[in-house]
Amino acid sequence: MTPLSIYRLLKEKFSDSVLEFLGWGMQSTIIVSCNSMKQIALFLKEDPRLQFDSLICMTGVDYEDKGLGVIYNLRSMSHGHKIALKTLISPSRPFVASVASVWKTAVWYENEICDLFGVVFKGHNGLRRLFLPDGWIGHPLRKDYVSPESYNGILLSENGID
Amino acid sequence: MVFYCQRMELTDLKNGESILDMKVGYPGTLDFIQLEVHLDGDQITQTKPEIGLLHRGLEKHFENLTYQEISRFLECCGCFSTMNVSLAYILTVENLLGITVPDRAQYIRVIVAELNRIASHLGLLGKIGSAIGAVTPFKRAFRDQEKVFDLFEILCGSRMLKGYFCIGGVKSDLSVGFIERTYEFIENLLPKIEYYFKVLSHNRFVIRYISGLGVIPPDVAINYGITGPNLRASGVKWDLRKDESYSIYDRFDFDVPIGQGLMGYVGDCWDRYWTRIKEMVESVKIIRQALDQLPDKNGQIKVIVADDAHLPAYELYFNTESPNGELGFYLISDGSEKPYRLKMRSPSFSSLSAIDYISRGSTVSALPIILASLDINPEEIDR
Repeated sequence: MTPLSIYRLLKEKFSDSVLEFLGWGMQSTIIVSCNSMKQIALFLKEDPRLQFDSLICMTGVDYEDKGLGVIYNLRSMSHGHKIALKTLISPSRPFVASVASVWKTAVWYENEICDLFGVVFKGHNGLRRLFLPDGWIGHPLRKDYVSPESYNGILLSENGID
Repeated sequence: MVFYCQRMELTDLKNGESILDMKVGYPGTLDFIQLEVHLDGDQITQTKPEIGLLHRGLEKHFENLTYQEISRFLECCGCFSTMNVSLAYILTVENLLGITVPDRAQYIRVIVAELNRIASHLGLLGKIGSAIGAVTPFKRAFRDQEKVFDLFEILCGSRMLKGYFCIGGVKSDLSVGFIERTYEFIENLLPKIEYYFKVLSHNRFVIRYISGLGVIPPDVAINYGITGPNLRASGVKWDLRKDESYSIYDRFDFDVPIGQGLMGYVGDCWDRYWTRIKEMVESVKIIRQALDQLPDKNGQIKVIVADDAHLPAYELYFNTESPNGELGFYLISDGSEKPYRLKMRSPSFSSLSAIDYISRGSTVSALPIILASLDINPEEIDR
């Protein structure tokens, strides 16, 4: 299926939650609302016309003015089509439904995005920091992040190294 | 890889349940993965990997670097597959820039990337050998790997971190004698692969150790995002070089070997090992064709791209087939000379996330073999 027909199919099924289609150039992106992420994911995986059985990549991004974004790159191994889903979240209430039960690979990706961006995935069992220590303050990949002076008594600023 | 047990805690003496803290590391380096293994007697009931011990915050760092500078940093993300990592990134940026690289540079890239794939797969042979206690193949594999690194030394003066690919082409043309030495190397490699078949693949002790271990069914592998040789070992014929052909891979004729369960079940450790050996033969095929077709040197070897080149504002995910699996980059550009966000999709990250599923039910002594057969690059996971 072409990206545009996938978008039409989704729009038909989830009229209000599917917001926009960005289909120019090399990547086609469908922007969806964060509230119905899980239903859309389930539909994408289980509908026989779509069969998106593989979540290739999940990316978090801080768009500053537009809020936080989570991007899902999906591929169907059987049909051979690809699509990117994007959802935008407000930084003050960073909640998205978890898709970890749909694609197992999302378990770690969601942990990673939670660690580095502070996005909370509802319905994820055992959301935790993946790379950083548990006691770390803040989420480093947010654009307004200020790196701390020290961690556990170790100076982190450049002056500390000199 | 070296495995050592740091702590063992008997939680329930009556039923024989215990928790084991294992650390994984390379000889002479710090440990990079910590595994909390829950045991019932000798059987693994749960494995919890703890990663992030090598986290260097590269993705944050990329936001302050220009596009040309990033490719040097990225090379430290590949253990034995440094060139494949930088190739994936460079192709992403070139796609966004919309430039066409000279034909000769494309061929050189394919030759070097496939040589690096052979080096990486030979490294896995060594890892599996050391995990089952077979020291001879370990040494032999690393001897052959050194020969690939010798070729790289002729090419660009460096063995591991080469910085040879750049946006727009390659840094310099092939050195004198590189083509002859590469022909010689691939001719000599084929008998050695035969030798590996004899001493490792069809050695009954090796088969007894590694076949039937850590079986990954194909649907589970897809669901966990396992890619590359690990996915193909489970019987799924999916190779990005063929299915989503990039660079000039569509000009070469090669097969995609898949696991067939010859010594046990489809998708076990032996299949993962065997797929890689078969893939080395295919890489030799590609290198030979590329060397035969290599265009004569006329004109430039690269398109000049400025160090502070501005990219058009766009978002793109682009993936390539690295030795460990599908390596991709999600690049968000805001029109400036630095990326707004650059995410690396690493194959080892997804492979390791499935370790709990794979290792469940097997014994503790099998865990090092399963981990070795997945070919995990710690630098790639932690970034």
